[in-house]
Parts: sequence; C-alpha cells; structure tokens
Amino acid sequence: MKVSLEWLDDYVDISGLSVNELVESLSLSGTSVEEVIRPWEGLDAVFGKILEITPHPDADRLLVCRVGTGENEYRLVTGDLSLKVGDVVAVARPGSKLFGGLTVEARTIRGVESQGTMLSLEELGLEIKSKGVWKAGPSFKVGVGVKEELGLDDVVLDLEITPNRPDELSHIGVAREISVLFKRPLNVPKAHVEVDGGEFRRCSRIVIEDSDGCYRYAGTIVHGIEVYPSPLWLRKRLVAVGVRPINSVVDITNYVMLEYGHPIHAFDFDRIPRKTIVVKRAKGGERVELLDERQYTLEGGEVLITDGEEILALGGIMGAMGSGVEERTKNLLVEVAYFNPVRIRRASKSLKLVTDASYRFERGVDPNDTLDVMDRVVSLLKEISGGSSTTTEDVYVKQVESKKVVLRLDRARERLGMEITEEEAREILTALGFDVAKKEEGKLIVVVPTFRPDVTQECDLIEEIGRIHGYEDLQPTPPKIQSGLGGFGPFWKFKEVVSHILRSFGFNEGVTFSMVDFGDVEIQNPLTSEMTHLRSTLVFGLLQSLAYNWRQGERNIRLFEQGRVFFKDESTETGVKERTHVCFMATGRVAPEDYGDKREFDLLYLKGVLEEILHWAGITHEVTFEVGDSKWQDETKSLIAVHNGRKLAELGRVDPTLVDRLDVKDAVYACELDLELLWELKRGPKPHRELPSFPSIRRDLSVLIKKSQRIGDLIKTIREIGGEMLERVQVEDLYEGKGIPRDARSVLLSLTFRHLERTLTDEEVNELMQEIVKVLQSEHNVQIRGLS
Amino acid sequence: MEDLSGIVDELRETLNSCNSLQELNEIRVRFLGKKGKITSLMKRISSLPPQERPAFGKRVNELKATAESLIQQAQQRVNKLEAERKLLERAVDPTFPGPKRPVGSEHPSLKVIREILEALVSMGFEVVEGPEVETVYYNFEALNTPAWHPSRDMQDTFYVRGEELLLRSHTSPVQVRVMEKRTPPIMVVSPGRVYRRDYDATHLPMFHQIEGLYVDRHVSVSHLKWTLMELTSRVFGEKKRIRMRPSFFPFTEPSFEVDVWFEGKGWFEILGSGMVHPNVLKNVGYDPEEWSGFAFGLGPDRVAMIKYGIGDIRSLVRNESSIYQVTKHL
Repeated sequence: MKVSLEWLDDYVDISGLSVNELVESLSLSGTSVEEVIRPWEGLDAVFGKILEITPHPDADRLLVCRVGTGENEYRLVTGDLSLKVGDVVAVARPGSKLFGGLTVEARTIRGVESQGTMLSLEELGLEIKSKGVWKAGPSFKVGVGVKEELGLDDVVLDLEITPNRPDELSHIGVAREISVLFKRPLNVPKAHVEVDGGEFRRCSRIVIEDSDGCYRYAGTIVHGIEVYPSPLWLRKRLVAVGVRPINSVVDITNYVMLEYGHPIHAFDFDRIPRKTIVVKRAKGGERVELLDERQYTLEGGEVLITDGEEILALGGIMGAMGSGVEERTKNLLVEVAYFNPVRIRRASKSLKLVTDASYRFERGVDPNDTLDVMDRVVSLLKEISGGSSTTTEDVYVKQVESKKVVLRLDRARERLGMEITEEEAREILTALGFDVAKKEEGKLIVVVPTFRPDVTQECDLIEEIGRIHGYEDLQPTPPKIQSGLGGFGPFWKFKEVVSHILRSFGFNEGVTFSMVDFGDVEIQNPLTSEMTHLRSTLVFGLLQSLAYNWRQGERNIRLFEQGRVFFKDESTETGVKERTHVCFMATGRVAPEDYGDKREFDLLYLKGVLEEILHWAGITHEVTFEVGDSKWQDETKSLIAVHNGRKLAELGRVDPTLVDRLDVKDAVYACELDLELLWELKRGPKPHRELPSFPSIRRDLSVLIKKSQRIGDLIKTIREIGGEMLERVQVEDLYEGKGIPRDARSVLLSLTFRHLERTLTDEEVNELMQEIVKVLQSEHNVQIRGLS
Repeated sequence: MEDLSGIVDELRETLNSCNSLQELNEIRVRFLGKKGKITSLMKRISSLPPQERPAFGKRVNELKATAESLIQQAQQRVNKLEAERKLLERAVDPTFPGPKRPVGSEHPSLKVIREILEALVSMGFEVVEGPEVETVYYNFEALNTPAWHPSRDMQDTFYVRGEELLLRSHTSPVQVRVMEKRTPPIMVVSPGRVYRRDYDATHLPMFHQIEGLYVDRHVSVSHLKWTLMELTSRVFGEKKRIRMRPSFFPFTEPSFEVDVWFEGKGWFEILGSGMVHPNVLKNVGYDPEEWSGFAFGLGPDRVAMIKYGIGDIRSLVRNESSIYQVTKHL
C-alpha cells in the first residue's frame, strides 16, 4: 500500500515531522515501511511564456520557440505545431528528470540547439498518452517552479500492511496511526450531499437474495454527468501512489477507495437493462466477460451483482464488460457494499483474479462506513463531473455490530512485562478509535470499531497497547529455568556422531533439495519440473552437487548429506513415511592433499568407511554384504549391507550413464545408509577388556584366490579351524595385476593366535596352521604362496 | 742408505686429498697394511746385513710412528667431515609442506543450527523434531490460521494430497505436536527443513528454520526479549542490539519481527516471534488463563549468509567447495 504524505496531511497535520521520523515510528509500531519513494525526484521545470515562434530553418514539421521564464529565456525546438505566442508552458531544463526516470538533455535538432524541452502531461506522468505540449493556461505564473506549483515534491511511503490490518489499506487508516503515534488530532471531513435527483426508488430498486455473500448494499444514482479527464490535483495523487488515471468517474471511485479503504463500483445506469440490482449467489457454470476483457467461467458460490437476469459485476471483485462506465456515460449507479470476506476470497482464488477490491474485501472493510463513503463519492462526482443525485438506497440485511471486549489491566501488564497505567491504556485505545468505559477497578470495557475486524479478544487489545507504547524501553527478564528440561535428545546426538565420523574421513557436509524429479510421493503443485516428487533416495541430490563441483573444475570431491527420504505408507498417520538416511559420495583421490597417498576412491574404500560406522554401532559382525541391485548402482561394482534380512545400506559405483549425463567423466562412488535402522540396531558401549597377559603368536599366510571366490568364505573357514585360540584374522595386503593371473587376487592374511590362560607353543600353532592350509587347499582350492 | 722421507711426503700428499673414511682406510692399507709400503720396509730389515739393521730398523720405526700419527690426524679431520655429511643427509627442510588429510567441513547453515541449539540447550531448551510432510491441521488450523483467511497467503505452500497433506511451511507445527503430548512447563526448540513455493536469488523452495517455544505460568514479552538478546549475543559472539518491531503472525499475539544491528551494515531482520496466541493454547487443551508462552522462529540460512558473508543463497544448496572454507574456523 502506497501512501502520499501530502494526501495524509489532509487528515492529520504532519508538519514538522521528518520522513525519517515517520518511517521509524510507523515501523516500530507495526506498519513496516518497505520503501520511501519520491516520484518526481529530480524534476527541474518552471513555467514560461512563449515569446516568439519561428519556423525551423531545416524542417517543416518543427518550430523553434523563444520562451521566457522571467529571469531567463530559452530556445526550444518542438514538434507541436499548435503552440501560439503567449501560451504558458512547463519548461524542463537540461539535466531535469522526468516522471519514470528519463533525463532531459540539451540536443541539437536538425542544426538548431534546443535548450531543454516543453513538457507534456505524459512526461509529468499525469496523462497516459499526450497529444502535444501541455498548455498550462494563464492561471500558472511565469517563473514559478512546476514541482512546487503542482505539489510534485510529494513523498510516498510504500507500506507492508499485514493481513490483520485492512483498515490501513487506506490513507485515513494510516493517518489514524500517525495521529496516535504523534498525538495529533485525526480529522476526517464529512461530505454533505444535497439530494437534487429525487428518490432512488423512483428509478430503481435493490434486492439482496444472497445475504450470506452480501451483508449490505447501498446505491445512489447520479444523473447527467459528463465523463472528463480528472483535475490535475486528483490525477497527481493517484499517480503518486501508483494508480493510472483513466477518467473522472473511475478516478474518483479509486480515489475514495484509497482514502477510506472501501472499494466502490460505478455502473453505467443506462447499460443496466432491467434498471434493478439483484445480488445473487452464482450457481456455477455461468460465463461472464469482466472489465479486464477476459472471459471467466464461474465455479459457483461467487457473489453476483445482476439486474435479475444479466450479470453486471462479480461482487467485490470486478465489474462486467457490459455495464462499465464509458466516455459517453451520462447516468451512473454508484455501489458501496459489504461482502463476506470468505466468499470473496474463495471466488478470487478459484478465478485466480486478485483486484484492489477483492484484496480489501477479503481482509474485511468497514461495513458501517458505507454511507460516509457514498456521500464522499457522490459529492466528488457532482463536484467534478456534474449531475444530480438521488437519495441513497441502503439495504443492510446482516447487521455487523461493534464487539465488546473486556481488558484486565493486570493481565496486560503481566503479558507485556511493562507498567501500563489505566490512563495510558485508555488514551491509546481511544486514539485508535476504540470506545473505552470502565467496568470495575482494573477492568475496562472496550468497544471495538468495525474497521478493526482483527480485534476480537483481550490479547488483541494488549497488542494494541504494547505496540503504541513501544518495546524499546522494555526491561528484559530471564525466564525461570526448570532444571531437567533441556537437552539434545539421543537421536540428535547419534546423528551428530555419524556426521563426525564422516567428516573425519574428509567428507564435507551437504544440503540438497528434498524435491527431485522422481520418487514415491508426488507434489501436487511443484515449482519446477526438476522438483516434482519427494526424494526416496539421497543419492541423486548429492550427485547433482557433486556434478556442480566437477563442472567448476574440482576433481576430488567428497560430500555427505543427512536427511529424510519419503515413501508412501498407508499405515502411518499421514500416509507418508519419513526416514532419516545418510549418504556419502566421492570421486577422485582418497586423500588429494596427501602427496604420499595416490589412491583413488573405489568400492572397498567406501566399504571401509561404512564398516567404521558399523563398528561404532557395535554391529560389524551382524552385517553381511551382498551384491547390490539398486536403481542408481553400477551392477558390477555394488553391494548391499544386510542385517537379518533387512537392508541397512547400499553402496557402490554410481551408474556411469547417470554420471555421464551430468558431464562428470570420472567414477563416482556412493553409500546410502538407513540411519533409523542403524539407530534401532546399534549396541551400547562395549565392556572394557583387560589386555591379555599371555603373549600372542602371529603367522602370515599368503594365498592366491580366484576372483570368483570370496575372501569372506576363506576367513570363515580359518576362524572355524582356529577356534578360540585364533584371536584375529586380518587382510594385510591385497594385490591384483602384474605377475598374478588375471582371474586371481593375491592376498596376505595375518593370523594372531592367543590363549587367555596360558602361553601358546609354536607347535600348537603350527598344527593349526597346517590344518588351515590343508583345508584351504582341499576345500577351497586355494594356492598357498607362502607361510611364515 | 735409501731415503725414506719420500714415503712421508707421499703419505702427506695422499692424506691431504683424502675426504672420506673409505679413502683413509685404503691409504692405511697402502702404507701400513700387510703389503703396505712401510710394512714391506720392516720386512726388509731381516734381509739386511746385521750391522745395518739397528739403524735401518730405528728409521723404519720412526717412519711408522710418523705415518701412524699423520693418519691419526687425518682420521680426526675425516671423522668430522663424515659427521657433517651425515648431518646434512638427515637435514629437515622446515619450509616443506606436510601431507594433509583434512577433516570435512560443516555446512554453514547446519553449523549455525548447531550453534543456536547449543545456546538454547544451555538455556534449558530441549531439541525436538517433527515430520516434514504435515497435515493442514498442524500446519495451519491448530495455529489459528483458518482456511480462507488471507494470512494463509503469507506462506505459499506445496501440497502433497488434496488440501489436507502438505510440506510444512514452517517448523511451528512441531509446537502443537509437543504441546498435545505434554503438560507445561515446556521449553523446546525444533530445527528442520521447511518448504515454500518461492525460488529466486533470495528465496529457496526448501530452507531451514528453528522454532523455540516456552510455555509456563506468567510468561511475558519481557522474558521473550531476554531470551532473544541472549540468543543473538551467543550466536554472533558479542552483545548485539536488537529491536522488536510489532508485526503479525496468526499464531502469536502480540507478534514481533526482530532485527539485529550489525555495525556498519544496519538492521537485519533475523527472527519472527511473539506470545503464543490463546487460540493455539486452547486448540491443544491448555487453559490460556493459566498458561502463557512465547515462540520464536528464525532462519539459520539467512544467519549463515550474514555471518559468513555468503551473497547468493543458492550457494548453500549447490554445496560448492567455497562454502566449506568459511566454516573451517575455531
């Protein structure tokens, strides 16, 4: 909502207040100021008189004028051939800004230098399309500044009005705030209309059939008007607050709406076939062309203004094409009405049509200022466009009463935490337009004006007092802390530990959108075609981020993300199951900043990271790994981790065709882990075990195994044979490549033997090793390369 | 009598050009070894006529002593050289960079969330989480935002099923869920992702929010002010000026936007807050005559942008490498 300071000054004296003071006070009392606008900033023009006109020496369609402004004379070239010596014009000097931001420059036109320009009203923003130079007429004195004379030095505040304050969608409403804040009187002039056009009922009648949609409908007929361009002062005010001037009738209805906040509609009375107003509820399916020249099909439930048959307007939103005011309109029917906010909002939503009127009606206008608004419109119409007015027919079928709210002063003090005297509370509320009466000690009965539909209970009054009193001086007080309330909670801490583990492996913590282009749960109104579903895996979002970094030139990237994935599940409260997962993903070198480590990421490295997490969870030995099969995995390089038949994690190389589509040319590896399942499975702390007091014996076993074999099977066999004396089996080295058959791997295993109650002998261990070697050879067909 | 002094001269010369222990050993062998020059002179003694033997023997012994002493001196010199050489071989270049294995960085928004939660937990708040797919009841109706009310426009919402199921547009529904399950006093904070249909240089369709709620007896705006002042000074590491601008949220009354002052930059809107609306308390079965409370919500993404000087909000979801440099600090 834009308000003009010059306009506000009609209702509250703002002299002596700086723009900054106003902005500050409004902002700190709930009316946020988005922007301070000076629409004619930089305009440098004076009125001058044409002293001499000569033809342009080099062009038939141009004139050269000598214009005097009292002190100076200017030579100005113009294309307006209708100018006469003696015309008063507005001369803009070079460097002057025009409305809309253009700058006047001294230009040489066909060999003659023009020392500025004679302005049109269009260049001043006061007319949509000008035919020529503005001939201001003799009432403007030569030598006087155009800006000062026309009031173009106005300052406009662009306010952000919250949905609870429809009253502030008007100059009077904002003026009321200023009057309260600066303790200056509010002065709203009452218009007086002389009825000189007879009884309304002799020409027309009003019937409200839809009393749920329209509570009040007032109509007045104004006969014999002339539709003109509006006077400059009116146009100027509209333009300042961003409204295009059209003609006197439209401009006046807009003007009074911006003044009172109550939308007004004017019909061409002669274009209402049945000369009657019948307010109906739309059945649905009706088709209507509105003033925006678009066709609408109604959903049903809209409030219709009809003449009994034909639709004249979509009540509270926009007039219909057939009954609109035109240049040749002579007789008007002026409507000031009150519509049910919910009905207007539904209609506006279903038709996707928001207008200044619908915006105000859905927030709630004051039903009880109807007659004041009508008087104001009719008096302005008669003043500007002439004509005679009938009585006003006022059909008020559903009375909106002022509410009474009791305010307990001690409650106000307690809630605000400030000392508020009864006198101050009274003063603030009265200034805001509330009627205050005392009920008993410490209690006030407050009558809420109907222009404040947001105030319905005590807390609303407390807010009013607080915001006007101000919170700058409010003393802060610490809340009473109850011991035992606070804490992070176990699941939060668990997630944090997992993050720490991954960060310690060098993975950076990422955040990606939860919306992707496929998944189990669809979004009905997506914003883009890339975000149509809720993700069911974290891999793709993270892959996008990895690819973004790759395209930026990074080659070694490690990212992880913790977040929710979404699945359909009718057994849950909402039908959607949310599950917290973590995904970690990498490409390039394992340790790019370690020049001693040239390894690249691969499946086993990732598995090692996952195994570290499983180790922390205490479930390493309960998890088995199988060849993977998920959507994103490259089938030859992928695994799933399974716990008792439940899938805990997927890991592997991301399908190269997917990766390639994102322009990433290197292999990408990822692991996605179900954190909630891990949370469910995890074990608590392990009991401490003393270091064994008897020495261990170590043996190294080098074997050559076929790639079709699983090292896990071998280790299992070794464990079985080793029994309790075999403390640990560990892979010390893995080698593939030169010197080794292509279908085989060379693996060095170290076996640690120990007895907890005595010292083992070499013989015992040798016996076990022989048995192990024998079984590996006979049952697993493993080639033993060395034993030491 | 042959001249033996030539041998001494030769030895001296050889020793002078000797720089290593190995060379020195070779020299020793050449002169004093079994077949060395001086040793072979000694051997010749027995083949001399007896009368010449004592004199020759004496001279050879003297020669041997001289040679041993010369070699001894050379030995000392070469030892020193060797020691220096060894020292040089093991020299440390203090300017050589160490191989690095950096730990990963926190995401700026999540680091801010952690800092805020740390502060709030120490002030007595408990961290709680709620669903991201919400019902319209928890997201709007229970929060005093009825259907067909213009305040719904303040949050343009993604819907998942009909008008009933949506992506939560704020973390406030968690308030309601917690209050429904517990009795006051309640002091909780709920971080998480929220969703709104808005995507441009300053808005993401998915962003983070942290919502704090305190419900107890006799809670006032003054308590809210203290909590916010304490929170902002902990998060920004110094006492910050704040101002509470009255505003409107359907679920609080009175409501405030809270600005924080940054020297040289001006006021930044960081928080929305207010006293829990009595209608919200009624909706969860609390008596607003007995209980009152405050709630506040803030956007950690915005705080992170201010704190770390990140200009484009989209950097935060691209996870570009530059954002991980800023959170690497102590």
